[in-house]
Parts: sequence; structure tokens; C-alpha cells
Amino acid sequence: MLVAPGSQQDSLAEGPVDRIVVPPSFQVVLAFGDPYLAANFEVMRLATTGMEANPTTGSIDGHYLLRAHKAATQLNPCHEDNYYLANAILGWGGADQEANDILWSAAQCRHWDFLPAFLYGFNQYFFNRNVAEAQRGLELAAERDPRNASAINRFSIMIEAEELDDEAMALAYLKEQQSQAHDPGLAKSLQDRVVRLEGLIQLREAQAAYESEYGEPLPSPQALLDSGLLEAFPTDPLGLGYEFEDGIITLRQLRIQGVERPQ
Amino acid sequence: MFKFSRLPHLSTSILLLHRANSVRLVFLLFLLILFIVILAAQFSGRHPATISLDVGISIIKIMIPLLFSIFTQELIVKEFERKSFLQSLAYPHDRINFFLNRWLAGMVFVLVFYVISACLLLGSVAFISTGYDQSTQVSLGGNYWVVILVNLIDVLVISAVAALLGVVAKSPGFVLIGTVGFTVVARSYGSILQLLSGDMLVVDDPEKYQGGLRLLTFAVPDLGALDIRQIALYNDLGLLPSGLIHSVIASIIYAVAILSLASYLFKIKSVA
Repeated sequence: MLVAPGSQQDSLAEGPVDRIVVPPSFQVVLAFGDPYLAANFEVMRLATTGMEANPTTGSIDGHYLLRAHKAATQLNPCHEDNYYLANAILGWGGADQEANDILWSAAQCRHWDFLPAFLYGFNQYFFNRNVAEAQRGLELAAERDPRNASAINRFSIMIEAEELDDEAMALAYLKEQQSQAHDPGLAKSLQDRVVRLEGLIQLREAQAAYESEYGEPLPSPQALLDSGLLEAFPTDPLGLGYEFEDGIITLRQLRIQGVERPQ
Repeated sequence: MFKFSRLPHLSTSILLLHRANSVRLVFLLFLLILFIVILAAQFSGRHPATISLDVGISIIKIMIPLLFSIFTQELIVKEFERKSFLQSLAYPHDRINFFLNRWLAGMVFVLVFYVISACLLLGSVAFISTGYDQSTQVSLGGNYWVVILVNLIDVLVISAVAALLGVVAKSPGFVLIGTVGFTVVARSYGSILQLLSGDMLVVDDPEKYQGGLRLLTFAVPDLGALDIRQIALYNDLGLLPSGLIHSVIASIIYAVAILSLASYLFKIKSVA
């Protein structure tokens, strides 16, 4: 949705004049000495006029939005619309680092609000695969929202577990987390994931046995049943199941409408 | 029972303002506040009540210096122009007393406007709150009135400065420009210094921040520090800035000093 890298040159050559974002210190003066009013003006402006498509390039002017959001954060980091729009438009429009900066300032300012910290954690994992930073954000979010804390903690533990390539290590990690969990809800959820992972290990061991016995790659999971190595496919307590792709059995990922994971 | 006859100049001054269509002006401003506050809420997706409260407080704060410059113009500057001081000062009343009554008349008018517009704002924001259910509610109770109360000191400082400018003004437009200019500078320099030094958040190190500003606050008070609206916007007393007491006391002292200076200058001013 934002200006794609290839067309940047064209927009600079032919497009209309770049939109002006007045520096925050001067905006305070223009708003009669009121930084809150200046922040409100800036966010209202970007929300109502920044979302139009540039007629030359046919896409939203991401450069303007970046500067406008940054200015608004400097004037009033607690502004809710600012961080919300920045996450949605900038974060998922290719400017995730800038969105994360804004989310982190909002998380620091709005010390009662779990959402900016949670969005920050999620973005760090999804875009950067930075588990440490993601967990920092998620821990902060769990602290602030007791109702959702177990769900957030579960997510935090899962992203660390998925980072581990070796499923046996992942299983050991999950089991250890489960033994340390005080919350019975969390312990139950982790148990489901342990069972799911054990099912995967069982399938992969069966596949290894098949390949060593028959000397050929596994053609399909059905062959495991036919050859008698497995009595039945293991059930996944989460209901997501397993996938067989390119000769490898993996955990099936949750498909979210409109979300493409970067490869 | 309060007797207006004890303060003859006060009642005269209030009548003067009334005659100058100030009441109609104030009603117009009330309508404007209502209009702007309700429309501002439409621009916000996630927190319309917060935005309307925020913009409402900003609008009232903008109107205060404008009102003071208009009233000062009526009560003090025009009297010099009309030379009616020649008559008023002939009464056996102390000049300073007379001047302070004039100032008080303007102050009373603005205070009444301020309180009524605060109530109007409260009503409008309460109405808007019934619309979208926000995750972070605004405070329309104790926190809101604390914000309004602390902002009164801002009103006091501006009234004193407007009175001073009214006494020393040589040209008619000077009171307006001077009051508005002073207000903008006093309210903004705190946040401008903070923005230029690169701190994106409220100060982590108040010692360093206050130390630099302490000298400046003698010349121009830091009215921006008196703007504590975040406690009402986000319903959290924990957001109160740490140096608030210092700012409040400094601003009150400043207002008293400026008003004394204005009274003294009025006393020695030759009216003829």
C-alpha cells in the first residue's frame, strides 16, 4: 500500500510537491503554545488527508505519514489514535521499525495501557524475528493487563519455543515452562502444546523409520499407516493438525486472513 | 450579604463591560466552544471523548487572553483615550484601590466565563462519552476540576500582564498583541526547550530541567507547566508533573508582582 521502492524515483521526478510537516517545536508556537493542540491538529490532518492515494503513483504517501506520525509522537506520546494508526498503516505498510519506535514511546507514556506494548512485541517477532525484544514488549503487556496475562505469556513462551529448530529441545523447553507455570490455565494450554509437539515427534520418527526400512523418501503420510509403522495419526489437541510439504512433516500454521509471513 | 455599594468602582466597571456588549461576546464564545468540541470528537477513531476534552481545554485557554485584552481595552485603555479618568479619579478614593477594582471587574467577568465554559465542556464531553465506549475513560470528576483549578493560575497571570500592558500602552493594538504574545511565549517555551533537547517524553531528570529554567521563570513564568490536563484526559493522578508546586507558587508570585507594578505605574501616571 505504501510507495513501493521501485516507484520512488518516479514520484520524486513527476509527483506534486512533497507535503510539509512543520517541526514540532514550531508547531507548538503555531498552536498558541499548546503541545496537546498541536498533536491533535497533526493527527487529525494525517487521518483525514494522509490516507488519500497520490494521483501520480496511485499509492499512499508513506513519507509524509512517517514524518507526521513522528511529529505527533514528539508532541504527545500518549496520543492513542497516533499509535494505533501508526501501527496499522506504517507497521503493515513496510515501515515497521518506525511504527515500533512510536509504539514504544506510547507504551512508556501510557503506563496503564497494554496494547502498545503488545503490538510492539508482536511486531518485533513477526517482522524482525527478534525474540528478546518481542518478549520484552509482551512481558510489559502482560504486567499491565491481568485479564489477558496468561494468553500473552503463552504467546511469549511459544515464540521462543518455535525458534528452536530441534523439536526435542523445543519439547524439553515447553515441559520445563509447564512445570514452572503457576497459573493452571497456562499449564493446561502448555500441556496441549506439549501433546501437539509430541505428536509431531512421533510422526517424524515414523517417517525416519519408513525411509530407513524402504530406502525411499516418504511419498505421503498415508504410507505410514499402510506400512503399519503407525496405528493412527496423532491427534492435535489444538485442532490445527500437521502438514506434509516437500517431504517434511511440520506443524500447520494458523492462517490469518490478509497476513503474509515474510520468508 | 455582599454589598456592591462598598465597591462602587467595581460595580461601575462591570456595568461598563456590560454596556460594551461583552455579555453578547461571551455568549457567542460559549456557542463556539460547544460547536468546536462536538465537531472535534468526530475526527477521532479510538478516543473521541478524550479528543473533545483536549480540544475544549485548548479552546478555552485560547479565549482567555483574547478576553482579557478586550476587557483591558474597555476598562483601562479607553478611559485614557476618553479622558474620563479625569472625572473618575476626582473621587476621594485611593488611586490604587480604583485601579484594582477595574482589574477585578475584568477578572470577575473572565472567571464567570471560565467556570461556565468549564461546566459546558463537562456537559459536552459527558454527552460524547455516551457514544463510543473508549478503553481509557476520561475523568470528568475530581481530576477534571483539579485541572481547571490549576489553570486558574494561568488566568491570573494573564490578567495581571494584561493590566500592566493596559497602563503602559501607547497605541491601541499594543494590549492585544502584547497579551497574546506573552501568553504564547509563556505557555510554549517549556515544551519547546524540551522538544529541542530531544526528550520525547516527560522529563526523566527533573533536576536538570528545572535548573535551566529557574532563571528564566523570573522573567517569564512557565505557564506550560501549569497545564496538567493529562490527569483528566487519561484519568490518572500519577501523571502529575513533579515540579508542580514550584510552578504554581512561582506563577502566583509573578502575578502579584506584575499587578503591583501596574498599580504603581497607574498611580504615578499623569492623566491630564
